Amino acid sequence: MDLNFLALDRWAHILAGITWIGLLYYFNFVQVPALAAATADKEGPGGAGITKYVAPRALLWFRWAALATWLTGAAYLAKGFVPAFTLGLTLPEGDPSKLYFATIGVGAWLGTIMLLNVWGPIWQNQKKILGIVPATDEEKARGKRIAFLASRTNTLLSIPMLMCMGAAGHGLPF
Amino acid sequence: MLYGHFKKATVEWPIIRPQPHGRNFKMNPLETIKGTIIAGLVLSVVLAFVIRALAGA
Repeated sequence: MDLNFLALDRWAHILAGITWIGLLYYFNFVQVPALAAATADKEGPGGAGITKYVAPRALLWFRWAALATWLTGAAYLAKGFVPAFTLGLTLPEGDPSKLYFATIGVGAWLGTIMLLNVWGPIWQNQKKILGIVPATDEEKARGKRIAFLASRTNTLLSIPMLMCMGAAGHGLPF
Repeated sequence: MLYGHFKKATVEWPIIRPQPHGRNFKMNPLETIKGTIIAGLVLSVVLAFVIRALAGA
């Protein structure tokens, strides 16, 4: 039996990617609206349980899955890393792989921006919001707003990013 | 009359909501899930054409 590293790496990339983007969609489509509803419901149990027990665990898997996705993606590109990140523009005119590298390159750039967003604005501000690092109420409120917008930006970018990831091997939808 | 139609359309449009200061056109699509998804789909279409242009395909 031969070990196919490329296939193994692709598999790992998909698993990590689903974990990352799945949690991103959980935060945006479920947790944020649920916490807003819990805060508004004065007679309900509130959202302290989500903030204390769910959010830190979800964020742990979220940020490490993001890094794992990027690393396995970079390993998958291997020698194609530079042509991808230069969007195939360094390849000679008429090269049949130009479309592949332009497509996967745009996806890779979007994924990279999203990774930086996760470890930068989202995680740095979530640490303040969840009380992992000390912060004033004003810093927490500001951090909440920045983390929210960064997370929503990642949700927005995930749509074309996933289009590119699928389209590189299977064709663009438009 | 035209302004009235425009104002009504912008207020009813899911992304654009009335703002306290009355400037109804200034609305960040990231504020709502619907707006975020619509913006993501629009960006996807734009990028698909950019990719084709880059690759000359």
